[in-house]
Amino acid sequence: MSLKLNGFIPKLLFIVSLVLLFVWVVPKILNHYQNIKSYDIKKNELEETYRKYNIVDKAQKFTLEAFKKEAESIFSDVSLKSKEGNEYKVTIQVDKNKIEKINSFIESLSLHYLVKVKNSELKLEDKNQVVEVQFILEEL
Amino acid sequence: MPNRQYVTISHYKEREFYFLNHAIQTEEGFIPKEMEQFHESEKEKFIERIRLLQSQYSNTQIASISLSITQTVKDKEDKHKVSAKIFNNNFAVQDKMEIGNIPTTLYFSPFTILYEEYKKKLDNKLTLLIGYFDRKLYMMFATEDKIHQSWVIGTRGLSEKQIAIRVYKSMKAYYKISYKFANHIEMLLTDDSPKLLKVLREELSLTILPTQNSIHNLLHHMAGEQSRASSSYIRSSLSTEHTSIANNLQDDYTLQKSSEVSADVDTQHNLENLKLSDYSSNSFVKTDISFFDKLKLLFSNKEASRPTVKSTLLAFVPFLFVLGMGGYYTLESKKELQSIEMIDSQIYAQTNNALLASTLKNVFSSMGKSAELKNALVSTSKINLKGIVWGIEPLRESLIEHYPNGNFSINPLENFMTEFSFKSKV
Repeated sequence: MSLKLNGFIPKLLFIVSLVLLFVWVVPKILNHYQNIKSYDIKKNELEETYRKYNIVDKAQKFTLEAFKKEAESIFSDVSLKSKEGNEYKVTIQVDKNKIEKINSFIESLSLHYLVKVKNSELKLEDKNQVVEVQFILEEL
Repeated sequence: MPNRQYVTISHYKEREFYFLNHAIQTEEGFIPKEMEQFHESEKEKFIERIRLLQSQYSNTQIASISLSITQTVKDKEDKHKVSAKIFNNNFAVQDKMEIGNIPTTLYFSPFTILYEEYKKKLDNKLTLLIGYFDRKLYMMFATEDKIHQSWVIGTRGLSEKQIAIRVYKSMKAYYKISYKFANHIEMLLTDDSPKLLKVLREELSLTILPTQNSIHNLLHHMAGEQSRASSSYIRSSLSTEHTSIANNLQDDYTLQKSSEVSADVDTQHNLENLKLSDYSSNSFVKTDISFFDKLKLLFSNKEASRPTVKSTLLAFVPFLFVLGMGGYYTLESKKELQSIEMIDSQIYAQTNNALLASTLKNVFSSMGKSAELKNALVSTSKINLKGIVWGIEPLRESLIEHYPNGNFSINPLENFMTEFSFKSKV
C-alpha cells in the first residue's frame, strides 16, 4: 500500500511523459522529416535554376560594396542609397545601345544576392545618350 | 557507580533546534542545570559546548533520544538493524542510528523510555501507552508480560481532535487483529498540551492518566542508573564508534536471543501485513489499514520518504528525456522552417525578376526602330510608357501584340515630332 502511494508522483510523471511524447514529440519528429523533404525539393528546384543560368556560386547576403563593384563592371554609372528597413535605392545608367544588359542583370539578380526588386518595378528615363534605370532592392 | 556522582549530558533535535542539558547525578537523584538551545546552523557551536561539558567533568555520559518514525517494537532482534531491549523478548528496532556525528554514548528509544515510566503500572489488562514526543505519537499496547503491538504516528498539522481520532482508530485497528480493547491509556507528554488531553478525554471517553516530563529529565533518569542505562540503550553492531563507551559500562546487559518466537508472531503484530478472515470486519479493517498507511505517508520523516524521492528522481529520467527530445525537435523544426522560408523567398524573387526582365525585353523589342522611350514604368503587373514615335503603326501593332488590352495614344508635338503613350496591365 505504501509503495502504491509512494508511486503516485512517479506514475503522474510517467503519464505526463507519455502524453507529451504522443501529443508533442512524435508530431514534431514527423514535422522534422516533412520539413527535410520539403526543403530538399525546393533546394533542387533552385539548383536547377542556377544550372540554367550557369551560375556556380550560391547567393550571398547583400552588401553595398560587393553589389556596387559588380554593377560598375557592367554599367557606366551606378549609385546606391540606403533606405529604411533594409532597402536600397539603386540608380544605374546604361548606354542606349547596350540597354539589353539590364535584362540579364535583373533576371539573375536574386541568384547572386539574397534580395528582391521591390514591387518588381523599374523606372526608366532617357538622359541623352544613356538610359537611367531606377529600382529599389529589398533584402530577403 | 551508585556511590559516585557523575554528569549526564542530554541532547535531542526537534525541528531545526538542538536542545542541550546536563544534570549532576547524586544518590538522591539528578540535579538538572539550565537548558540550552542551538539552531541547526550552530551545530559546531553545539558540539563544542558538549565537548566543553565533557572537559569540565571527569565522569560524563551523553544521552540522546531517537525520534525516528521508523522504529517499532519486535519480539526478536534484527541483526541488520539497531535495537534496544525493552524487557523480556521485546526490542525496539529501527533501521540505523541517526545521531548525525554528534557525540552520543547512550541512545534511547521512546519505547524503552515509555516502558520504564509505566512498567510498574502494567498488569494483565491491556494498556495503551502513548508517548507524545516531537509531535509524534509513539504508541504501544502492553500488558505486564508483553508488548503486543506498536506504531508511530506523526501529528504535524493536525488539530487536537484529529489526533484523538487517530488514537481511537489505532485502538480499533488493534482490536481487529487481537479482539482486545485497551480500556486504559497512559500518556507521557513532553510539552504542554492541556488542550490535547482534554480533547482526548472527551473523544475517547476513557481514563487517561497523563504524565508530563521533559525529554531531558527522562534521559537523565534513563542514564541515572547503570543497570537501567546499560540494558535499555540502542545497540548497533553497525556503529561501534557510537556505542564503544557504552559498551564499557559495568554490568552491561547481554541481550538474550529469543528462539521461541515464531514468524507468525511477527506477522500478527505487523499492521501492514494484517489479513483477517473475519467476514464481518474485512472491509472495515482494510479501510483502517489504508488509513494508517496514508497517515504514515503523510507524516513520515525523511527516512520513510527516501524510496519516494528515489523513485521520483528515477521517474524524472523519461520525463526529462521526453522534454529534451521535444525541445530538440521543436528547435530543429523552427530552424528548418526558417530555411524553407528563405529558399521560398529566393525562388519567388527570382521568378518575379525573370518575369520583369521578360516584360522589359518585350518593351524594348516593341520600340525597335520605330520609337524611342523618354520615360517608362515597367513592372510585373503594369507598364506605362512615354516616348517619341516615328513609325506609329508598327509601334502600335507591336505593343498591342504583346499587350492586347493596352491603351495606345499619340500626341503631335510642335517640332513636327509625335509623342506616344502606352498603358497596359501585364
